[in-house]
Amino acid sequence: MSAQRIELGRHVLDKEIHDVHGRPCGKVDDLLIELDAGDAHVVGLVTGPTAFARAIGPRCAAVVAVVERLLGVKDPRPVDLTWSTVEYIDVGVHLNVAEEETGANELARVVSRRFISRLPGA
Amino acid sequence: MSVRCGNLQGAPPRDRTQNSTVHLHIPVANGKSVPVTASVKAERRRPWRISALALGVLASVGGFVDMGGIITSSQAGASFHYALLWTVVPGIVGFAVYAEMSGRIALSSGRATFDVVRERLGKHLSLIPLVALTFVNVLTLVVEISGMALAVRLGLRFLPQPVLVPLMALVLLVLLWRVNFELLDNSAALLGLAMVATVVAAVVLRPPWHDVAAAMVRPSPDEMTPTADYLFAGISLLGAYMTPYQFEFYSSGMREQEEDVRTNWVSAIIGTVFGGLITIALIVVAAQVLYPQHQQVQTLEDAASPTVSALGSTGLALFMLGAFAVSAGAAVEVSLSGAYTVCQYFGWGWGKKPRSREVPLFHLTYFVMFVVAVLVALSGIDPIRLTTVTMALAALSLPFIFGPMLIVANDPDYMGEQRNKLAANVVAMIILALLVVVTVATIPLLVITGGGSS
Repeated sequence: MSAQRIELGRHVLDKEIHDVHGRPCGKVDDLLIELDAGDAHVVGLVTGPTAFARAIGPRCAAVVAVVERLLGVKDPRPVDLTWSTVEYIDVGVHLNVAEEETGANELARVVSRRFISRLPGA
Repeated sequence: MSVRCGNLQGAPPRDRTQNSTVHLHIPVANGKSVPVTASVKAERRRPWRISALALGVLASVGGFVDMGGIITSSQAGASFHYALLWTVVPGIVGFAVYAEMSGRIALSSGRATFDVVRERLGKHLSLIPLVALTFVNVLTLVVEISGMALAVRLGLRFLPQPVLVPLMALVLLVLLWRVNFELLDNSAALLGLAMVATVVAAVVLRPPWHDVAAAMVRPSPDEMTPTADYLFAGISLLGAYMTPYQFEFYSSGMREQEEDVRTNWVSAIIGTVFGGLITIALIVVAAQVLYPQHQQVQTLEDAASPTVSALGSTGLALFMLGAFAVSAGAAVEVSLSGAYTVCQYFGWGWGKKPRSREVPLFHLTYFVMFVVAVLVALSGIDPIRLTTVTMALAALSLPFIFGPMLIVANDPDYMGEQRNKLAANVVAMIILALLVVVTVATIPLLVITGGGSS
């Protein structure tokens, strides 16, 4: 298995991210690359509604930030996941940490706490 | 680090019926090699499950016939006699082919359709089907909720629409929140079988069956010149047969109910044929009763009147029950489908099986859809006109949904051995080509006919 290459656009970008328990925590919205003396290393994934919106365009980012604040997210920002948290990649990107540690599902957590879990039967 | 799409790269072919473990050594960014062990679960081989099959059939009947179908089919029969019967054939074929494809994508990639579409097309390009689908889903929800209210008013005329619409939405929301998904969907589909009354009515009305059969295979009978109205009605019919939410619902429902490929395929085919029969009956009874009187279908009462004239008050009761149930079933399916789509696009947890607090954004999405739908329904818009226009817009959005589906279903990385066969591709391409023609024609026709008003 020499010459193993990962095409980031095809095999990583836009894949669903799952935490160590298999719970979904968003998509790979962007990738972080570090440039080091002519070498480029992928150092992390970027996810979350803010990251998604920024990739679409500045107006979308502004709208999404307003919606997130309205729903109760105090400081909407893209979530960086360092590459060391990636366990393996198959049909999705699987992390070796629990989603609570990553901060990736902040919007879901806030919506759950403020609205959904207050309804009877949740 | 390992990379896999569908089948593990660099791994020997595996027996899909056995649990297996795959070992890989793959270099990571810093030049080191990381050993990875992946366990691959066996696919379950199941015997035929009659119950699953029966329920799949019922769901497909419910999927094929809903408020959109009732209104557009009755209008077609009343205005154009048998001249639009031919649309049932591409409708059935298109629905069956793409519903099966959607289910197969879910089963072989292990993920629901929209999850795969986002990954395969990227976030920008897949935004087009997302927006188109969500827009049509909300409008369809308006149509189905209004349809439930109209069905209730067939019998209880004193209840005003502005009271019934929010009431129906509230009942549906409570049911969606509390009741088991399968129970909800299956009881709606079962009650919806009351629509078979229209098939009985069609038999009672003794139409010239050889003319009906001829019209099924002859697209433009001599009696009708293809005017803008005729084409617009045809487009709305195609949209009603293949309402976009059904395909997403089909694949996500399959993931939730854990069905297998054969059950998927057979139930899609049988259910659609049954649904097609009810649709043919709706067109035929309207053609027998309303067409000679030059009566247009402007209310749900107009649509019910042929069945009532054939079967009397029993016909009315069955039509009312059937129309209510298929609308309720469709409303449940379209709201869940809309939420599946959005959540799968953004990678949020989804489904009726997990506890609500674990998938909060899934529930929030359909709550928001209901609020928007009720506001639109209460805006004073004519529900019947809205139905026709929504179904035309549904047809318009279909190529943007079918196109990506076709791309994914042909990608061996996702589908493995389950990728599209030549025959499926040929049929799917013909349907897609028809829909592209329809799409190109819809916008000018919407303008010329004023949304089917003339």
